[in-house]
Amino acid sequence: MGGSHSHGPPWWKNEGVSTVNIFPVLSFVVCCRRLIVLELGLILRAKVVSSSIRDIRAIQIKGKETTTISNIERRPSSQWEKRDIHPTMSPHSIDPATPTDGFSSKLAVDRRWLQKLLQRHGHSTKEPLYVLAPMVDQSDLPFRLQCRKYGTQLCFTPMVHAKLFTTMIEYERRFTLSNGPAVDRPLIAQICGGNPAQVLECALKLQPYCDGIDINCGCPQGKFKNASPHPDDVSVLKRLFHRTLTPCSRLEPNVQV
Amino acid sequence: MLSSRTQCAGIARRGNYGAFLLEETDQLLELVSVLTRHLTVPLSVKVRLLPAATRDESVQKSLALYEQLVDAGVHMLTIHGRTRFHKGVGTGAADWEAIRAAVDLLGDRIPILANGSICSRQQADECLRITAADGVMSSEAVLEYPALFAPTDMLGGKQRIPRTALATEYLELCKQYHPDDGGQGRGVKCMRAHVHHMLHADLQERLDVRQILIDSETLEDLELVVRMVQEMHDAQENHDSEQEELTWYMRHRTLVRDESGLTINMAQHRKDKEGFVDSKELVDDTADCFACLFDSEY
Repeated sequence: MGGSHSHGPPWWKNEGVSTVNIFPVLSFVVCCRRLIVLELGLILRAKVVSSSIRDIRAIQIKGKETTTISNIERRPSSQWEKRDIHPTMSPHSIDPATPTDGFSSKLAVDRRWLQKLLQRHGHSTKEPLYVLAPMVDQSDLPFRLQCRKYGTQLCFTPMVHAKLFTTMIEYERRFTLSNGPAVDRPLIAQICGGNPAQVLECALKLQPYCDGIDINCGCPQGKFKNASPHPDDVSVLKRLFHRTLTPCSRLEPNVQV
Repeated sequence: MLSSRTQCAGIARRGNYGAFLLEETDQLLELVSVLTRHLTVPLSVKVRLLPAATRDESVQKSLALYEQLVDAGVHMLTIHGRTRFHKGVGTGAADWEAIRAAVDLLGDRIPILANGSICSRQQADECLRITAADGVMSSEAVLEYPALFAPTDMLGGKQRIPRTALATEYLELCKQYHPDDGGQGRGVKCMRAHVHHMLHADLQERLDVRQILIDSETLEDLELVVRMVQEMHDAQENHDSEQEELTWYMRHRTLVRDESGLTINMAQHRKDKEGFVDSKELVDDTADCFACLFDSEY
């Protein structure tokens, strides 16, 4: 190839990569493109199956799995500690020297934190405290503002599903609290989820824009309790599938109904 | 693949399980300890009473759990004075005395909010008196009448604000802060449900207007519904907005007699006789339902 790169013929005319060498490869690709597509499909499917098997294993060892929140703890906590946090956000002053491991940032429990919070937002502590409950798809921002106009002093957000919030951009956008006006405070964000890592990630994302985080342990709805597939659950699941107009086929490999 | 254990969804038929997490004490305490270690804002937990064979047992179990939660570092508890079995047609009255017991036990350590059976400001004040809680929380009654907590001087000498005025006001707020756009609501579905809750009493009488509401796709459609209800009120000579009652809130709480003389629930009665559809069924939550079921994305 010598000095041909400076003013020689283009690379495809080089003796190194001749048309004689490249032509069989091209013709093979053209002839066998269906086969190649099939192969790729098989490889991808194998990956999907193996990942669903991993899911099943993860559930089987779920009891142990929930204790490992290593992903969150290993993450440099500066990511969230250096955020611009509004001074009125927390009833406690945030110590900037909080150790980066996050373990010492526990707030001391102050009996009067709620009163102080309300006072800071201009509510008298003498009047009774009226609170708007967290309600799915119903404690939305315009409704909270209407309730506040009529004497509600503290509001909760609708329940935020931790897993969806941490995995779906679309969901996170809908549940973002950063657009709210200053009058929509004091506000407590309600989160649900059983995976501590996800709940924590969700809570850390929401806390700069609210005055508290709430875990939902009060909702009575829902028919599915067990973590592992159970005959009864599967039958309920089947019914649910049949009730749905458009069953989502990509869920089927996981379901084994 | 019922992998998720503790998600809760307030609207019917979703995955899980808020109140179920309450019975998974270890998991709950672990979650609380992780959060209190890392959060810089107070952590609150919304709880119910634990189900048990007898009331005393239920209260004892619940108090023990609440104490554990407070020991784990929770900054506030919101106690709903019912167990997870008290819902829908079996709602019943909330147990304020049980909340009082919790306040007596833990009230000097953390603030406690009381929740359940609040359908007027007077009842809210009564609840505060009996439970001695720091605050009182209401959900369904406020949905139907957002001015529930309004002091009398705010109402300009009247007893109530007309429900059409409240619905109009809500839709005006939606124009400024759309529920979809960072407002934590689901756009028109959310607004539709609100209008349905506020105008429930009228929509039960006028199924044609109700159908327009169900079919509405835009905020303008909803405004049309409110206007139609307003015209209805204007046409009725005997409609007195100060005498309006909470019908949606009462749907599980009002008992009526059917033809055979049996006492049945109002909601059930309407469902059987009039094809009544609860507003919750107006909300299409299939996607979320699946999401919760499979602990995965849509």
